[in-house]
Amino acid sequence: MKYKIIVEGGFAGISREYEGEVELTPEETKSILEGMKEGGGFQNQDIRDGFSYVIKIENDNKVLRRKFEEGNMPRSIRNFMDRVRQTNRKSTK
Amino acid sequence: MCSKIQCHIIPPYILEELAKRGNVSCKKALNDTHRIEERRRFALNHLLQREEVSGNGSRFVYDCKNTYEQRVSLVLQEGENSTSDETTNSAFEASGFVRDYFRNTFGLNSIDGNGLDIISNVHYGIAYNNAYWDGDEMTYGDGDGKEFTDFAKAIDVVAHELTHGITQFLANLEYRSQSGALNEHFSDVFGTVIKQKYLQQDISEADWLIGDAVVTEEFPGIAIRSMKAPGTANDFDTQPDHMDNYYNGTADNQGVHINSGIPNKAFYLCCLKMGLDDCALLWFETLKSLWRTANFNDMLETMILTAQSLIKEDKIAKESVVVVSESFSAVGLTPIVA
Ligand SMILES: [Zn+2]
Ligand SMILES: [Zn+2]
Repeated sequence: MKYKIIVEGGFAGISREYEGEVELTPEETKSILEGMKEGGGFQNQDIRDGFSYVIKIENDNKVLRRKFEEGNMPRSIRNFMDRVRQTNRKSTK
Repeated sequence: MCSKIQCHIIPPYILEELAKRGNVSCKKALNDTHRIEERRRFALNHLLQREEVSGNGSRFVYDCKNTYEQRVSLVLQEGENSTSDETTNSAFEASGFVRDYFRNTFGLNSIDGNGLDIISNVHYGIAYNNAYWDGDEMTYGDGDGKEFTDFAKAIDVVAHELTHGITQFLANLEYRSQSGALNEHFSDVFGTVIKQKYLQQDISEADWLIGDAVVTEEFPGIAIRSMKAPGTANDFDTQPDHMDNYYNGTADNQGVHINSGIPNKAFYLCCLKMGLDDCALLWFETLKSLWRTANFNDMLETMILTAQSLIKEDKIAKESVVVVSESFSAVGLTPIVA
């Protein structure tokens, strides 16, 4: 699975980008794809300094792109992002 | 004129115009209309998750235990002794210092002026490089230890986040474009004022940095922002210090953390001539008169009017209007002084 994750905003206002390709088990792939479909519902308008997350996933030649906020980031995508952050670090503004 | 009841049926754009002309009840109605809407949405979302504790500005610190959930485990509350966790103790102590500053200086009873409980969440997420206010509480990450460290341990970060709460209740400045940059500005203003109080610094000793305590040695910079020299705090810092370099892009909610550099610099210049306490009072009183969509010029106009009345009441020095005008002119915002 190919991914590109952009973390924007936050107290520091410094963007972070993570891009690459990972081998995932079918279960992992499934939970990420579900998160991409189901997450992102309610948006808390009162959040200040919250991150926003732009997630792009390419799987089986299909590209999915979603934007999440601190309050509606699906757990499976968060876990995936934490995993990716360990191995791939690149920053931009 | 506009009574409170009438205000609620007047379309927002007319309320805005009346608010600009100094109609306080219209300003209140305008802010309330949006707040009620947001509160309703927010309450619906939170209804099933938690029950709100009503109180009198009491502090509660929750440990998120490195999950992405808030209020996982209550670890410290008002009246209790400190814990063995330094982060918990810092969040508790710093939020108390901020609460007491606003109470003792401006008579503000907690975040909402109505004794709202002060909730802090620490150890949020994994190596989480952020702190935020979400409408009713503060949440702090530990930082990744590579570039950022414990956000709850920095007094200016705590004051910045708590001030977002105060701004929400006093002016509800919309979090985009110039009103959003003002929202950020007020948080940095009280972040830096309270940091100086906490460290018992004189303005000449102060560093005017925001978030210097949350960056590591490896981080390419000395802090997150500088009010004295916006744009110089780190390699990513693109804050302008003048309207000539105003950021017109769409990132960061149209530059809320970027364009705040402009009024931040004006605040710094003002402090040099007026002193920290007079400036803090002027900024606080101005915030009370602002409204949801106020822009830089609206704020400046409101500030001049506020300064004029504070001078009349003998609360700030009579040169203040001139000082404010000069400080803002220096960053490319020239007020029309009556
Ligand atoms: Zn902020
Ligand atoms: Zn909350």
